[in-house]
Amino acid sequence: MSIKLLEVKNLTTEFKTDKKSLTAVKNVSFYVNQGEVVGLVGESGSGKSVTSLSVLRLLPENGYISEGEVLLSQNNILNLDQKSIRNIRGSEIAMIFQDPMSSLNPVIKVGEQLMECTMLHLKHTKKEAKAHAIEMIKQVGISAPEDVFNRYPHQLSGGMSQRIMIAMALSCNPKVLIADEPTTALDVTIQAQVLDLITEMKEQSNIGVLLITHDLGVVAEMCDRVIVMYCGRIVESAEVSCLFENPLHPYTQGLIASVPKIGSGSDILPYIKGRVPDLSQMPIGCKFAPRCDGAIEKCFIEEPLLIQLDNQRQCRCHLVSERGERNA
Amino acid sequence: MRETLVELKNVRKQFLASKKFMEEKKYVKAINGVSFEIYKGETLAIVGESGCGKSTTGRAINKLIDIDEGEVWFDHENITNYSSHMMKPVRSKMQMVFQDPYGSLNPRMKIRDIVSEPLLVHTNLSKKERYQKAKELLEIVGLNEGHLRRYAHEFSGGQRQRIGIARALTVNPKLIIADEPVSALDVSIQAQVINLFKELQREFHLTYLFISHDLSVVEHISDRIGVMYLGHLVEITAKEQLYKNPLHPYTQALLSAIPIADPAKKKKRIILKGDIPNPIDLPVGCPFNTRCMHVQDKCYKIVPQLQEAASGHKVACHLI
Amino acid sequence: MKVNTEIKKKQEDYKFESPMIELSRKFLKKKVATVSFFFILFLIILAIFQPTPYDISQTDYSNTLSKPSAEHWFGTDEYGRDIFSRIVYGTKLSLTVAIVGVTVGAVIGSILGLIAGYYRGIPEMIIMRTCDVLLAFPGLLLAIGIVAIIGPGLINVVIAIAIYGIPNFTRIIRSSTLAIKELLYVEASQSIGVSDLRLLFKHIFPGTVPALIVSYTMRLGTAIITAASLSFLGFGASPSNPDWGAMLSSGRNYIGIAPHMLFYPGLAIFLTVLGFNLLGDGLRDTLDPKLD
Repeated sequence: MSIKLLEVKNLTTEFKTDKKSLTAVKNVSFYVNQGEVVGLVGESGSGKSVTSLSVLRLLPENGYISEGEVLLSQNNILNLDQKSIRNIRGSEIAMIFQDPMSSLNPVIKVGEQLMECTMLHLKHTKKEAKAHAIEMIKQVGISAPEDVFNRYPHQLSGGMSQRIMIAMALSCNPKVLIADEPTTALDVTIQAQVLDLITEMKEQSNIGVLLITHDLGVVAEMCDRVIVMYCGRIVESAEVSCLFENPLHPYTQGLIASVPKIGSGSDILPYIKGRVPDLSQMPIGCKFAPRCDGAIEKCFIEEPLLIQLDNQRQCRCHLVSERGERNA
Repeated sequence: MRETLVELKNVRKQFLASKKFMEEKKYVKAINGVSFEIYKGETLAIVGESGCGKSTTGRAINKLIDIDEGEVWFDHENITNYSSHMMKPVRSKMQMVFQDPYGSLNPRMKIRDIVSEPLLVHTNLSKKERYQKAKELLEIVGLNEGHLRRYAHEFSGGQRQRIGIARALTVNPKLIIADEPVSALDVSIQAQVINLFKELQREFHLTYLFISHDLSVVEHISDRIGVMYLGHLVEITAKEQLYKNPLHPYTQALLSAIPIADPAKKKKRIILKGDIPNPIDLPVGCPFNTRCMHVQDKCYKIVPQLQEAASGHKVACHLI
Repeated sequence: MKVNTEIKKKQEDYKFESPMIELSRKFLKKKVATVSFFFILFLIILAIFQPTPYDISQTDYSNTLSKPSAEHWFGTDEYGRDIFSRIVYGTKLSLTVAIVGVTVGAVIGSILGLIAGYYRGIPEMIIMRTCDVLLAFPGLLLAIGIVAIIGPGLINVVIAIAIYGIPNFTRIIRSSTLAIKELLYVEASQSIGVSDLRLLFKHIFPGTVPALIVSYTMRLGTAIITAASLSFLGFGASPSNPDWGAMLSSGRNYIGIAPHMLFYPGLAIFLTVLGFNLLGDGLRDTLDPKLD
């Protein structure tokens, strides 16, 4: 039995607007084990990024967590004050973002930004921190670490900056790494390099990775387990091979089908009709019902529950749960 | 022999990068001698990573930028030195669809004015006739009459891209230059828009230049594919050929780098070393020599020319 | 499937707010700005309807320099004229001078700014260097210089304010034009084949309007001070005209015995300028998309 590093229980995040509060994430529960890559997949507006920001408590000012627990090595970090949470960020749990260029401070040398974290959390002296920073730059596969140490962020390419971000995230030996669309801004050939690096770093330091992405290709290559989100809810979660072989939720099915595949030779791409509903005008029943081909009347009236199918598999769909009951 | 609609002959374009006092001027070499043709009724996809000059190539064809060297032919006319006045009738025959559906629609105009604007510029139709045509086109791309009076910000990304496509169609163009039209969209919406492009091509006999960074997207839409790297066209061939038998080492690496949405098909990837070189200081010789795994002495000296390796399959590589 | 279509219909029917309503709601949330907006509105109503209890030139030598009372709210001046009535009339003068002057400056400045930002090159150099020269003068000195050349009088004050405002508007509009010109929808229109003139006025100019509105409001405040200063110095309205600056000027001699002669015109200038500045601030917060 592997160790649960990060566990999120019934997380609900809301945003206050002029008129009312909107629920961006509702009742989301999942966990990340040691040495495991968990994918959080969804389209824009699915709540995947809000989930990760909630975990780190980095929500924008009008966002708040109304319910739930975030357990980091069994401690609920939602109860911590600002100071303790700041200590945890970077040292226990680290994050890398989509846009590496804007995540680095443009007026401070790359090396100094790397030193900051270890001096703060590991109480390194300046000399130790510098040695450690150069070591980290070397580890993320940059050939001339001393040279890069003295550069400013704008002198680095996109792929290089993302490597630095990874080095920075891992420099204080966190237990969990949250990667929010880490390769979306990068070119395909550079993406391949960075994904390889993340896998390598994970194996080296045995951390848990929560990988947030919209790209099912990345999920298939990287993840052990996948959580599919739609409209702020988990609609399906499964082991990666199960999910791609036999997707249960109609949304997952549609999503997998609509990915263009090389060599399929098909003329018309399968697609999901309609579009993701706006947060302020959510459908009453199942959030996917208006776009679902198999929707029955029940789907428009009652929101289905997330049913545990077997120990690794969950699905939120009336059709699936009814089928399950019939079988049982 | 198929009829040619667009032909580029050895086109070059560089942009001034920096002009420092007492220093040599630096230029970004965006396109370095690109030649290809687009046949009537086909879809040519130009694929490459950022900074490869694919967008600049698209803009060179409709003269949103002026080229430094070479010739651009459209519909048997040499439009290379056309003034903006002479371009006006040509522009109505080639329309553009942009990558960012949020930025490409004027936020202060109603949809019916956006869609009917090309008609205002190129025809003498009355306002009523223009709005009527706008309405018809919105219906063709899957929107309805109720959307006519709204503003762009009220629409989702996919809907906006449909509006952009409707605008491009109003003046019955021959060529549509689509610059990364689906890369800003979610997967499920992406498929809708690609299918729409295909339907419209059949219905209106359009020719497409489809610019993309994603080899997996263009397979579903293109007839031929050209791969660009650092302002050079390195390979161009029919779609089936490119996926089955890619000849240029860069094309091979690009194909193998695409993550496949099927964990059962885990494959061995060719991981390219290093970054794309800066287009200000191009490598001497083959542009790909800094990252290529089959590099030879010759590659550091001579720029390989695009040559026919098989019928209709052109590659620029010394090893072929 | 009946339910399905019904829900779909409901979603289609959902109406989006027009941008104007959204903006005004955002503006009304800013209390200070809203108060100044209604204050300015009140001034404009005063200027139009002129609710003056006394004739502004009606003298009353039995009642000169009297303190504020129920009869004369703001007291009387050295000729026994009612100061309240003269201030109300002065509102009309100040607002007209400021609005006409700033509007002329804004129109000319915007056109120059659009040309400079859109065409770049030589036109830009000529326009912007001329602006630099004009901006190098300390504000009031330029206005005094202009009036000194073309002679005193209210019309000439208007001209001075207009010229004084042009370089500011040119700069602001040029910089917004430069930014908007790079936006994708402008390039999209170019690719359609839209003419330069249409591109400038249909696609680029509307984008500069928020910046224009904000600086227009702010300039109104400055213009009122400039006009009052010119009149105070004797370059503007003739002393018999109840201009606020001229009233301050004539009250100066009686500062020891009748301070109210200075206090009320001064207060009028102060409140009006403050009102315009606060309104401008509020508009900036409302219209600036960066603050969202």
